[in-house]
Amino acid sequence: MVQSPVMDPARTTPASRPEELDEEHLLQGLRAGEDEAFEALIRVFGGRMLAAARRILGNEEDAQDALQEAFLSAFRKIDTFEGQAKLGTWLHRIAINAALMKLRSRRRRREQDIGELLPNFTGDGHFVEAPARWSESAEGPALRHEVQDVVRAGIDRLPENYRIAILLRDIEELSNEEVAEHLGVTVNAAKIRVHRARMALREALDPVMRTPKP
Amino acid sequence: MKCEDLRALAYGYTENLLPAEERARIEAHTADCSDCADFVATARTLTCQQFTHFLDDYFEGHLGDAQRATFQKHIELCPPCGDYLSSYERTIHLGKHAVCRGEPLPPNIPEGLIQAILEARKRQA
Repeated sequence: MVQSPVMDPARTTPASRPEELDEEHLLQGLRAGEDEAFEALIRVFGGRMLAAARRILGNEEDAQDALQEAFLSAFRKIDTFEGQAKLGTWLHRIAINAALMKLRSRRRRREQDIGELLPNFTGDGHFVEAPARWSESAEGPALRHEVQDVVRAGIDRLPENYRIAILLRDIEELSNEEVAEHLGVTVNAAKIRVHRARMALREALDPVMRTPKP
Repeated sequence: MKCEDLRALAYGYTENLLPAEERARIEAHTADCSDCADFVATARTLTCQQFTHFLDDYFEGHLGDAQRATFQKHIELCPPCGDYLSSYERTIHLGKHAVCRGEPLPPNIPEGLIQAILEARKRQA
C-alpha cells in the first residue's frame, strides 16, 4: 500500500494546491487505482483546468462537460504519463484538448472577417491612420475595469480560429509548436493567427488607451 | 545640421512632410555623412506594413542580425511604428491580465462536478 497521495506526510489536511502535493506519491496512487488518488487529482488540478475550459468555451455547462472528458481521458492515459512534464502541465494540455473538441462539436457562430479588424495601410505601405502613443495612465484604477471589459469583448469578437490562437498562446502560455498542434496547422500558420489576433485586439483597445478619461 | 537633428527630422523627410528648405539641408548632410545616408536608406527599405509583419518575430528573438538592424532603424526613423510596437507589447500584457483577473482566485471546482467525475470513472472502469 502506498502512502496516501492526498496527504502530504508533513500535513494533517488534504493538499489543495499543486505545490502542496507529493506528485510521485499521487502517481503511485493513480497507477494503483486508488479512489483517493483520483479525487486528489481532481481537487488539486481541476480548478485551473476548468478555468482554461471556461476561457475557450465561454459557457459553464460546456466547460464542465469538457473537464469531465479531460479527467476521464487522463485516467485512461495515466500509465502513459512519463513525467517529462509536470503533472499539472500534462493535465492542462489534456483539458485544452477536451475543450477544443467540445468547441468543434458546437455550431459555429457567424464571424467577422479578421481583415476588418486589422489596421489599414496605403498602397505604399503606410498606416492610413498613424498609430498614437498609448497613455500610461490608461491602466490605472479609474480605467482598469473599462480596459478589462474592452479586452474581453475584443477577444470574444475575434473569429474563432484567431480567438483560440491568442488564448492558447498568450493566456494559456503554450508554445507556438503546441498551439499549432492543437489547431492542426503548421507552426507558421499558428504564429500568423496569433499575430493577427494580437493586432486586432490592439485595434479594439486603441480608442480607450489613446484617449484616457481624467 | 548635426546627425541627431537629422534623425529627429528623418520621419518627416521620408514622409514628405518637410518644407523644401529643410529637405535640402537633410540631403546636404547625407551627401557628406555616410552613417546618416545609410540610416535613411536602410530604414526606408522597410514599410510600416512590412514592419508590422515582423513584430512577433522581433519579440520572440527570431529575427536575424540584419533583419533586426533594419527593424530597429525603422523604429528610430518612424515614431508611429515605435508607438505601434509599444502598444502591441502592452496588448499582450493586457490580454493576459484582463482575462485572468476576471476569474475567481483560486479557481474553484464545484463539489457536484468532482463527484460526477468520480462516478463516471467508476462506470468507465
